[in-house]
Amino acid sequence: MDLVGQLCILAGSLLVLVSSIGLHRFDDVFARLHAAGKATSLGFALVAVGAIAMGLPGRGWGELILAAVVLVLTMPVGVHLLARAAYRSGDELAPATVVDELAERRAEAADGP
Amino acid sequence: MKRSIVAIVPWVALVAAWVALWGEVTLASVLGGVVVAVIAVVVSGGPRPGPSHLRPVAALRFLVVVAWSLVKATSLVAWEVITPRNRIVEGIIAVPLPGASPMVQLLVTNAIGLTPGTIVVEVDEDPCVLFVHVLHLHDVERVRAELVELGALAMSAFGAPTDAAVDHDGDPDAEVRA
Repeated sequence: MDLVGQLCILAGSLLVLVSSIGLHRFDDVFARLHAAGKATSLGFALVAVGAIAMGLPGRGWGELILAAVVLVLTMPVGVHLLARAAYRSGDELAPATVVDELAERRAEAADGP
Repeated sequence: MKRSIVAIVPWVALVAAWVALWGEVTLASVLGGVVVAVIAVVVSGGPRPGPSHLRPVAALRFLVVVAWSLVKATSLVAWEVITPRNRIVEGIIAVPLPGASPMVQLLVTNAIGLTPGTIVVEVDEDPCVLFVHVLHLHDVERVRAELVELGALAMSAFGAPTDAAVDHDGDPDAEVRA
């Protein structure tokens, strides 16, 4: 159980490290949200699972599960709101952007009656 | 009978969360959880209407698909970060979910938001269209088809019968125009 726990914690930490690097490497706010917003919470979930595996049997796993569940449930909402705010405030999309159907839809709506 | 089971789920979840916070199951923590759950529900104005329908097999498939795409997409984004080559092709695409109830919209939006590589930027409610920012948009129609498929799966798991009447194999573009 100890080995499983340690592997989980290692994997989770690596995931957080990778997403921090992604924060620096990616070009625009949306790409950074992909890297930073999500991988970190998944990384925390892995660390929590690892801590539970290492601590069993014992106290504390209820709090860890709750923290992981709440984080994983609320994170998409936060990321969505950040992305929406960034888009609405007119943040520029990276040069690598090939298509923006939201802008096309809004332009159509503006042209319509 | 199904309906009463579904109605009890938020209460059980609230009490379970409280007990988890205390870290042990005792009479005091369970009773305290019930009190806190009642207060929380009263203050927040009652539980929102949950999924009106629940088809266990389809719900399980939805969970498995989300979990699998989570693993797949996490490794993909991690790989993108640690390899020097830049394969990012960004874009925002429209994903139509015709006839999706608010509950299904929420589930699909959350599932998409949970998966690295896709973010819901904006939601049009009537008709329901999600605008999704995608990190690896090498094939627009394939990504769109995958997300429409996810939405269809959520509808078949949690949607009302009218939701499920949507043609799952239909051409997504046709549904946009409809």
